[in-house]
Amino acid sequence: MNVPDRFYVAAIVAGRELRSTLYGLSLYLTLSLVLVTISYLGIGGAFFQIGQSGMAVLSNPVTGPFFLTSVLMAIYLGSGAALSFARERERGTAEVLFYGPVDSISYVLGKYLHSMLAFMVVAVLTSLYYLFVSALTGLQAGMNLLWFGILAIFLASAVIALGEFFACFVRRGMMAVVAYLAVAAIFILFSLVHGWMISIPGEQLSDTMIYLRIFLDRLDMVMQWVSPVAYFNRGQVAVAHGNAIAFGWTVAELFVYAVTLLACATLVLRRRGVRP
Amino acid sequence: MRWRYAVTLLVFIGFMAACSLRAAAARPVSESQVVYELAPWTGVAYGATFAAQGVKDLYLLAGTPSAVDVARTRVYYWPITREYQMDWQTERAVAPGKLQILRGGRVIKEVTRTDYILRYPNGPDTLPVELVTGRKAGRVYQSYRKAVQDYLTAVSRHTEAQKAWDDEMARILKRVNESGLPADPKTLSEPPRQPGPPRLFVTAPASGFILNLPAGDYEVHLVDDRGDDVPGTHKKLHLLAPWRTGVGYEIMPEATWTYPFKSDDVDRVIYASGARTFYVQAFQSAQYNVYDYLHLLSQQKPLQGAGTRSGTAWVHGQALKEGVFLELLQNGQVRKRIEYRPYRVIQTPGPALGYNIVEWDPKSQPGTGPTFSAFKVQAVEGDGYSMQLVNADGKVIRGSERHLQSVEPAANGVIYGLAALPMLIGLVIAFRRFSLRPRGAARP
Repeated sequence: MNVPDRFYVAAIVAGRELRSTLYGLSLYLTLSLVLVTISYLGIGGAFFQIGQSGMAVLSNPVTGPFFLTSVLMAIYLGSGAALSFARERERGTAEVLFYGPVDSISYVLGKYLHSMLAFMVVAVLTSLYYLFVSALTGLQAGMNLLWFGILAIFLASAVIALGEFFACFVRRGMMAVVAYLAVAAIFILFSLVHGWMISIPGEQLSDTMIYLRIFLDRLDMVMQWVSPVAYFNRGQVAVAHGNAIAFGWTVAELFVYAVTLLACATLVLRRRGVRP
Repeated sequence: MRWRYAVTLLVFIGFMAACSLRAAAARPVSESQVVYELAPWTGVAYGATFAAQGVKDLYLLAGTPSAVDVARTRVYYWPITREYQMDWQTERAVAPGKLQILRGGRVIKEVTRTDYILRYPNGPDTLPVELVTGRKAGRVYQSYRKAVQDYLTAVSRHTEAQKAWDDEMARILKRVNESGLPADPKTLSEPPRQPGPPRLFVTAPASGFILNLPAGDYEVHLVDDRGDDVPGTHKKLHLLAPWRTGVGYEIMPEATWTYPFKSDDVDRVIYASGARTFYVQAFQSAQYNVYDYLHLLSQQKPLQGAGTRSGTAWVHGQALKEGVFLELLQNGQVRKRIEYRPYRVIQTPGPALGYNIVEWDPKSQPGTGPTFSAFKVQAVEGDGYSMQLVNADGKVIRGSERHLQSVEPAANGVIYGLAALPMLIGLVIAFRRFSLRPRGAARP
C-alpha cells in the first residue's frame, strides 16, 4: 500500500470515529465536568488568595488551569483510543477491517488522527472558555495562552500516542484503559510529589524522607525522558521566560516522542496481529 | 545462696558497664583530617563553612573573590544536626604550601596564601562588604583599630566630661536649693555629647587562598614547598554561575505588611482587587540550582540539599534602594516615579487592633526610627498598569518589569455556567440526533 492510500484509509477510519465522538454526549459531558472542577480549584483558588489580603502574586492563574484541562482531556481521549483499539481487537472488528484495504500503519494512524481531531475541538472550546473567564475576571491569559495552546496540542499528541502504545500490548479493553490511566496517574503524581518534596527545607525532613527525596530525584532523570508531564514542565519554563529556542526544542521532543510511540505501536500490532 | 548473690552482682555490674558503654557511644569519635575552610561569597554575604576529608566537591560562586584555607584539625560527625564539626581547639595546624587549580588535568593557576579581611563600611553584617587582601588588608585593619581606639578614648573622655558636668549640675542645684534663687540659664553649660561608635567594621586578619575564577568545573589540590601533592587535599571545585539574574521584589500590602509576597520572575503578575496601596522592596536576584547553592552555604552538611539536583531557587542579593526609582506605568507611559522612603508603623490607640503606616520624619517623630523603607505604590483600578525600576539616568533595570492587574471577582455562577456550555452543546446535538431519527425505526 502506498503512502497516499494509507493516509486516505486513515482519514476514513478517523472520520468515521470522529463523527461518532462528536455526535455523542460523553466528550461534552466530560469537558464540562473537567472545566467545572479545574475552575473551582484554579480560578476559585486564585480569587481565594486575592481575597485574603486584597492582593496576590500569581504566575499562571488562567493558563495553568487551561493547560491542566487540556492534559486531562488528552488523557480522556488517550484512554478512549486505548479502549477502542483493544476492544476492536477483542471483538474481532479490527480483523474484519484488516481483510479490507486497512493495514497496521493506516489503522494506528487513523485512531491517532481521530483522537487528535477530537482534541482540536476540545482545545477550541477550552480556549474560548478561558478567554471568557479572563475577560470577566481580569486574570491575565495574554499571549501565553497561544503558546500554551501549541504546547498542549503536542502534549496531547504524545499522551494519545501513549494510549495507543499501551493498547497494543493488552487484548482486553478495560485492562488497556486501567493500565494507561495508572501510568498517566503515576506521571502526574510523580511530578506533583517530586515538586513538593524539593520545596521542603532539608532541616524538616527525617532520614527516610531524605532518602525518598534522593530516590525521587534519581527517578526524575528517567522521568525527564519518559513522562510527557516533564516535557510540559520544560515547555512551561520556556514560555515563561520567552525562550523560543527552548520552546521549539520541547515541541520537537514531544513530536519525536509521539512518532516513536506510534511507530512502536505499529510494529507491535504487525508482530502480534489483530486477531482476538 | 552466696553464688546467687554473686550472680546478681555480676549481672548488675554487667548492666552498669553496658550503660556506661552506651553513654560513651553518644560521644562522637573525632579524627585528625586535612580540611578546607571556606569563606564563600554567597551573593548576599561571606559565609563560613568547611569541607571534611570525605567531601569530594567544593562549591564557590564564579566571578567574585572567595577565601579558602587548608588546615589539619580534628573532625567529628554530629548526628543530631547531621553535620561534620571541627574541634579546632584540640588541634589546628595550617597546612603549608600552594593551592593548584587544574582544568582538564592541566594546572591553570597556582595561588599562594595571603592575608585578608572583610570590610563592612556600614557596620557588621550590613551590606556592602568588601574582601580586602594583602598589604592593603593590614592597612585597613590598622585604620579600623585606630578608629576603635579613638572611639574608646572619646568614650573615656566623654565619661570624664559627663562626670564633671554632673558634678557642676549638682553644685548648681545645691546652690539653688540653699539660696532659693533660680540659676541663670546662661551659666548652664550644655551636657557633653556622647561619641558615636565607628560605622566601619573590619574582621580580624586571616590568611587564606583567594579564588576568583570564571564559571566551570575545576580540580584543586595543595602542593607543599617541594611541589608534592599534600594527601587528602584533592577535590573537585565547582564555580557556580546563576542560571538567570533579575530583580526580585518583596511586596507588602498595606493591610498585611508583615506577610510580604515575593515576585522573583517577570511572569509573576501582581493582582489586586480594587485600588490598593502596597510597599515594595527590590533586590538584585539570581537563580541557582538548589543543590549546588545549598552546598555552597553548608559544605559541612553532607545531606544538605540531597534530592534537589533538579530544583532551582531565586536568591535575593543586595537591596536596590539608592540611585533607583520605581516607575508606575499605564499602557507603557510613565504615570509616576516613586522614591525609596522610610516608613513607620504606628499602632492605633485603644484595645482594638489596627495600625497606620506613615512616612517617617526625624523632625516630627524625634527619638524614633523607621520601621521599614520601601517604594510606596498606590495602584488604582484599571488595566494596562505595570511597574519597573530605573536608575538615575532613567534606564530600565533588566528583569524589573512586573504587570499590575486589578481583578473583579466574577460571580461563581457565571464561571460555572460557562463551564456547563459544552454539556449543553452535547445535549443539543443528542436531541437533534434523536429528533432526526426516522419515526418507527427500531431501537438499535
